[in-house]
Amino acid sequence: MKTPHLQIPQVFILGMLAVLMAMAFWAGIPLSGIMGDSLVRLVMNGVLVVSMIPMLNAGLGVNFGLPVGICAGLLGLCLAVNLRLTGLSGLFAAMAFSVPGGVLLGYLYGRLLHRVRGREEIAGTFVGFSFISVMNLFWAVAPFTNPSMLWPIGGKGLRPVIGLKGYFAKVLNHAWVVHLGDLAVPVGMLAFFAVLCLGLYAFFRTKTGAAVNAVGENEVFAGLSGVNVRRIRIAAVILSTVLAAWGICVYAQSYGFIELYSAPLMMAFPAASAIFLGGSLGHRTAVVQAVIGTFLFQTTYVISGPIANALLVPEVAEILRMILTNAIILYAMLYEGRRRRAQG
Amino acid sequence: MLTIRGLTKRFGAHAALKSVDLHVEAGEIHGLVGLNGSGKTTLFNILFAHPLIASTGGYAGEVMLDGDTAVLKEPTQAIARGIGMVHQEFALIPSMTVSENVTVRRERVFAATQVFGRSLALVDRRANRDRAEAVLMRLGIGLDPSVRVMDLTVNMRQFVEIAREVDRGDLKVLLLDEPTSALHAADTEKLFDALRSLAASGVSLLFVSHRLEEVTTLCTSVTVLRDGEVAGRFQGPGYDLVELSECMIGHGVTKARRNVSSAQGPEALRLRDFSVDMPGERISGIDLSVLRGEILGLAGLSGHGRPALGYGIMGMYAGSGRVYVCGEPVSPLSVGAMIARRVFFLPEERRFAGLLPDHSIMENIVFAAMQCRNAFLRAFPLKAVALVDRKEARRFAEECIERFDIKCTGVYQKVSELSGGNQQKVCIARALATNPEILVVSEPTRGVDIQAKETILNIFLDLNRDSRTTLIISSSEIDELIRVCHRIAVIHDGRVFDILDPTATETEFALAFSGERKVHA
Repeated sequence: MKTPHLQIPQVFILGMLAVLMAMAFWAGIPLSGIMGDSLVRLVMNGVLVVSMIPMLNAGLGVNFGLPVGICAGLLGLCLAVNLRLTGLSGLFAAMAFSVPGGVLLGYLYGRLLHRVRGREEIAGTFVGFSFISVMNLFWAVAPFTNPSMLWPIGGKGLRPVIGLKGYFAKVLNHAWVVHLGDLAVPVGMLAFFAVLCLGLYAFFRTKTGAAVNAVGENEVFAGLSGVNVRRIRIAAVILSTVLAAWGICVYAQSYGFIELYSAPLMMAFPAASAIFLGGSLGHRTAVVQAVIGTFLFQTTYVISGPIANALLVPEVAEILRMILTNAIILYAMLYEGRRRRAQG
Repeated sequence: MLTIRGLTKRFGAHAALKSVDLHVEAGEIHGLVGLNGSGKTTLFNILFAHPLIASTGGYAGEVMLDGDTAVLKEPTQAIARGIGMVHQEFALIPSMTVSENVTVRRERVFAATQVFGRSLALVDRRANRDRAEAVLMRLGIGLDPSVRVMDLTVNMRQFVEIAREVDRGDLKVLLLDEPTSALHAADTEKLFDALRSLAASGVSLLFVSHRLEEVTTLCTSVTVLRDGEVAGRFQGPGYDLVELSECMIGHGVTKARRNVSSAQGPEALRLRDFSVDMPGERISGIDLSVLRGEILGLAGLSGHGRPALGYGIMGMYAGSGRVYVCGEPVSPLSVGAMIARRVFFLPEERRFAGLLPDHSIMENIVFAAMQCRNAFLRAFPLKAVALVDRKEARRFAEECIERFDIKCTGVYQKVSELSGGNQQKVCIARALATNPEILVVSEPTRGVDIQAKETILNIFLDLNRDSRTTLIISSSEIDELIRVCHRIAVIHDGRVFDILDPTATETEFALAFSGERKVHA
């Protein structure tokens, strides 16, 4: 396995984290609470982050079209709520329901990305944006029947925010929580994430996984070794899309709400930042890197909230976070540009 | 006039040019010939101050123009000294018109509008058009200068490129890198007339081409480069083509030849009326038959289609004709179909097509076998998601490292960290992992040190002797082909010009290379 090198984003976020920790300590905020929260947020966002790995490794770059997968997941969630499924089985049913949509959308999305080879990231961004508008129409007219999902007045069309209380809100968060002193460790949630990550890790050690890595590094080589480059690229997009669908299921249960309409619009950006933070710079990303990146990113997020409240300038934390999120993506692109020039 | 003294250029440990002297008089058309890798491109890059030269440590020696030394670090310096270059791949702006391309950066402007300086003045389009037309007329081309370059044929673009250089009043030396490779015979004649009249006006021309007959018709004198050194100088007119080719190929010291006399057996591979549309390396109507257990060499100058054969068989470029493997026709051609019939192709660009530089030696070696033959996989009903059997892969990779003497720290070392020779051995190992009966190899010894060269050639000979593997080796090193091959096919102008025995004389090879029939030899 690759040892992650310390790059500017990591140095920056570790520095920022150290400053925040010191301030939290100074402001008397208990660190155990923060640690527990950041473990929950690691899994809450982590699935969305690792969903980007297959596409990254297949050479399609960062999946800025994450909303495509998210919409597949939202569809699965809505179906589960419409059937009034509850508990962990409800969540897993939602994940299962989102698979067919994810496969179909991933296939179409993959075919589209194959046509715009070399510009997948920008194309993906706009696919994501425009697909959300298509889905807005769908949410407004979809024939769901559970009244708790529909607009209270008129009773037609889905609400922008559907509460999961009474269905499967926080079921994974609360599955098997172990208390170590003040620290509440969500063991069930972490175990779920670990199994998913191990599965993805194992995938890259299979025949198809090896082909994905090879296509990402050298398409001519892969082609001359008998790999159907187009098929492998589409398979990677399908896998990323289905994982993103599962990612939103985990996210929504953790958040307690399904957010429809324009909510997924910007969700690709924090996920992209997290993956870059882990030390991946656009090619061959290890699962471990994505996990580390998510943890660093989310810990900063969790810690800055209470501090900002303590210092009575709540906007500052949000502003810093926006700067961080977008600056890391920009840095990764600058780095990639420099690398390409050095090679060419 | 141009004088070069003791020009030396190193890329790391490899010397691309070794103390080259060259002198070109004003008004002279000087030819520069040599095989691939002989240093022609490097010489041109130095003269035109390609940034690659400065970024790899500059050059040693002197380039003198009109008697004083020229500093050549950036292309602008070369341009300022009156050096122009016509690129093999055109440096034109497709969406601009011919006149805009010809006069770019030297546009005529309306004098009255120069209040904010020349770069913001209004361009006098009519004056530029007239000027471009005049320059094209000088080159003997009647062409409407208001046509956009993207609408021109490749032939015409070549003339526009030359016109742009000629339009410069200060042009002293013009470098031409294979300007005829895209031209028809008639246009080539036109171009030569234009170049002759340009030379008559006092410009020195340095002309590179792989078509010897063109060099000998056009140039007043010719310098032959071989392995970065000047191998010979010839004065025209009335060149001895044979002597010139021999000088280019070189009288290499021939080491131990193979001792097996000739291969006999059924047909392993047969091409019938086989054409491949590979840009810059077209082949057309090739008929060729390779016997089981034979080593066939492919020789020929670059641009004549040698690399297209391997890519074509694997179906990587569009083409036509039929390919038979062991008597059975293969259609459509695809990598998968070929590997299934135990044909494997190793391309010449190791780093860009032959290897995964960021992957380990082990991963590289087992990749193709795993993808196409489901080798090195653990038992699992669905092969597509079967785990890689890393133990078996490791065992095989270690065996290869041992067998081919690959110098590395272990099976997990990244291939990009290996030397060229060891990378090539990894390539061969990964081909052998697929257990091929027919192996097509392109330039197996390019960029490889002498010791590794011997090892690689020995691997081929052993493979051929022990497992009766049929080999097709395409190489610009005619010497090596003579040593290992049963027969050598010389490709000229996209066709198999001749199939020679390795015992053929150097004169015969030289003739075949230049596309000459044995008439005056």
